[in-house]
Amino acid sequence: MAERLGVGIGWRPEIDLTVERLPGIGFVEVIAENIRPDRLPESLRVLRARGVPVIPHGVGLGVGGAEPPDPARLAHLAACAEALGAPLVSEHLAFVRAGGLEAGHLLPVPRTRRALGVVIENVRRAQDALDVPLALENVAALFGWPEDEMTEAAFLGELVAATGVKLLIDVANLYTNQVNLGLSAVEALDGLPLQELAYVHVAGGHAHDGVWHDTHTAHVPGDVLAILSELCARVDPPGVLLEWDDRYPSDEELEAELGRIRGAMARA
Amino acid sequence: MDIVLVVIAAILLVVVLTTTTALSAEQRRVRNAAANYRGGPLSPYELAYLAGGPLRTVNTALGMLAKGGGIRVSRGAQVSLVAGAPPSPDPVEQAVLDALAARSGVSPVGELRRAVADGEAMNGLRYRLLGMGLLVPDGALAGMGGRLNRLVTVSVLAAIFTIGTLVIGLSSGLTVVAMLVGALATVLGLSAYRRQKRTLRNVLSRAGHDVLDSARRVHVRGARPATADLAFAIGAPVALYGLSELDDPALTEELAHRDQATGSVGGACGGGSGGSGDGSSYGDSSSYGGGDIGSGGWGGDSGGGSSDSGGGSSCGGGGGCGGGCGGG
Repeated sequence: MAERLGVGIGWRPEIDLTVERLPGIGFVEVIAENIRPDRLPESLRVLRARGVPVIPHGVGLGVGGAEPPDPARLAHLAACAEALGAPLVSEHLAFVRAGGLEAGHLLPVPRTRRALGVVIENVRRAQDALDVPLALENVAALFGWPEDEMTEAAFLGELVAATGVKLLIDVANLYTNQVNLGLSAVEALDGLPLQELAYVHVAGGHAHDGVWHDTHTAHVPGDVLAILSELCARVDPPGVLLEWDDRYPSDEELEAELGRIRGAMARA
Repeated sequence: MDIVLVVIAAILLVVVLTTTTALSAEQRRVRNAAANYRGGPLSPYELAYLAGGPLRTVNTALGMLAKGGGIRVSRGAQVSLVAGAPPSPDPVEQAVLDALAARSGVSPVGELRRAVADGEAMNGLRYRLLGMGLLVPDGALAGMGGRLNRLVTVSVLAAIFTIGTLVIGLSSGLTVVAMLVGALATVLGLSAYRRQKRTLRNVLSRAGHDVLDSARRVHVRGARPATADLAFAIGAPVALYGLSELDDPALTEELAHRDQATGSVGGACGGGSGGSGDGSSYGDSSSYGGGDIGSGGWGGDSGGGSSDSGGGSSCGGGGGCGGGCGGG
C-alpha cells in the first residue's frame, strides 16, 4: 500500500488561499502542465513548507497512445515531482493525441491484447524516466471501442501486474461509465487490483439528456459517494481527493464537501 | 523714502492677514452650512466614503464580500465570484459583483477597484452623503480660488520686497523695520496659502467630520469585536481605518495590491466629479490611516476551461488537455 495521504483537494490557482486555509487537508494535487518546476506558485511552496504532500497530476502524457510518451513531457513530470518533493506522479490511462493531432480530451484506450502490449511498453518508459512511482487513472468515456476484448478492470489488472504501476481510481469516472455506458461501478471495483491503489478521485458533474458530464463543477452526487463507500469497504484508500475545477463555491461549501467525503469513507 | 518702504511693507502684511482671515471665514461658512443629517448610524460604505473616498469604499466592499463568502481572493491579487453567492442588497457590493460578472467572473483587484470607484453606485453614495450635508457641495469652495491666488501673489510680492530691501541695504532703522515686516508678511502668507490649499481639498463638511469622529470613538482602531455582524466586525473598521483592519494579513496583502497597469490608483482614476482622481481628500487626510489604498487624498494617494470534456474525463482548469488543464 502507498503512503498515507488522507483527504485532499485539487489545488487550482483560483482557490489557492482557500486550499491553504481549509482545515484537515492531507494532500493536494496540481496539474503538472500548469506549473513550472523552477517557478512554483507561492501557495504550493507554502503548502510544502507545512509538510502537505503535493502530487503532480499530468493530463497530457498519453500513455495510452500508439506512440511512446514524449521525453520532454516525461522530463517535465520528473522535474515537477522533484521540485515538489512529491511521493508519486499521476497520469491517465488514456490517449490524447495521434498522428500529430491533439484530441483535447482524455480518450479511452482500446482494451485489446495488442493495445495492452503498447501501453505496457509506454508505462515502462515513463517509469524509467521518473524517480517516484507512477499512478494511472481510469478515465470516463462517452463511448467504448467495438474491438474491446477485456473489461477496464481486467486491462488495468494486467497492466499493474506487468509494470507495477499504481492506481488512481476516479470513482466519479466509474459512475460516469455506469450511467453513460452501462458498466457497473461495483463490478469494476470487484475486478480492480485495489491493493495497488495510490489514491482516489471524487468529483461532481451534471446530467444532460441522459448523459452524465463529469464537469468537476458541482457537488459530488450521492451515487458517487456511494461508490466511494463501496471502494472503502474493499480497501482502506491511502488518499481521497476532491476535484473541483470551475464555478468554485464558498470556502464553507468546499469544507462541507470534504466532510461529505469523509462521511462516505466512514460509512464503509 | 524709508517711511515709504515701511508703509508698503505694512500694506502687504495687512493684505496677507485680511485675505487669510477671509479665507478661513469662508471655509467655516461653507463647512458649517446647515446639514440635513439628523443622526443615526451610517452604513460602512457611507463611513468609508467619508473616511477615504471611493477607493476606501470599494476596499470596504471587497473586504466585506471576501469575508462574507460573496467573492474569493486568490494570490496574485485576483478576485473572483463565488458560485452560488446571492446578489447583495447593497448597491456598492452589487456593483462589485456586477463588475466581476462583466469580466467573466474574475478580475485583478486594481482593475476592479477602479471600475467600481468610478461607477454609478459610487455616484449614488456620494449624492446621498451630499444630501445629508456630510460632504461639501460641488463648487461651494470654488469661489475661494480667487482669494487663494491673491494670497500667494501678495506673499510672493512680499518676498520680492524683502529681498529688495536687503539688496539696497539696511541703511536705517526704518529700512530694517520694513524688511522685517516684509519678511513676516512673506512667512505668514506662504504658510497660510499651504494650509488653506490643503484644507480646500477636503470635501467633508463640519457635520461630516463630526460623524466620522463619532464613529471612530465607537470603533477604535485595532479593536477586534467578537460578533458575527460583518458590518460591525469588518465593515466599520475597514471603512474607518483601512484594509489592515481586516485582521487577515494574507487577504489584506492581496486586496491592497497596487494596480499593476499604472503603478498607482490615484493616477489611473482621474476626472469626474465623483471620480477617484479629482484631487479631493477625505476624513483621513491628516492621518492616511490604515495602510489602505486610497485612504487619503487622491492627489497624494499612495497606491493606492472550463472544465470539461462532456461525458468523458474532465480536463478542467483551462486550456485543453494537451496544453495543460484540470485533472480527470
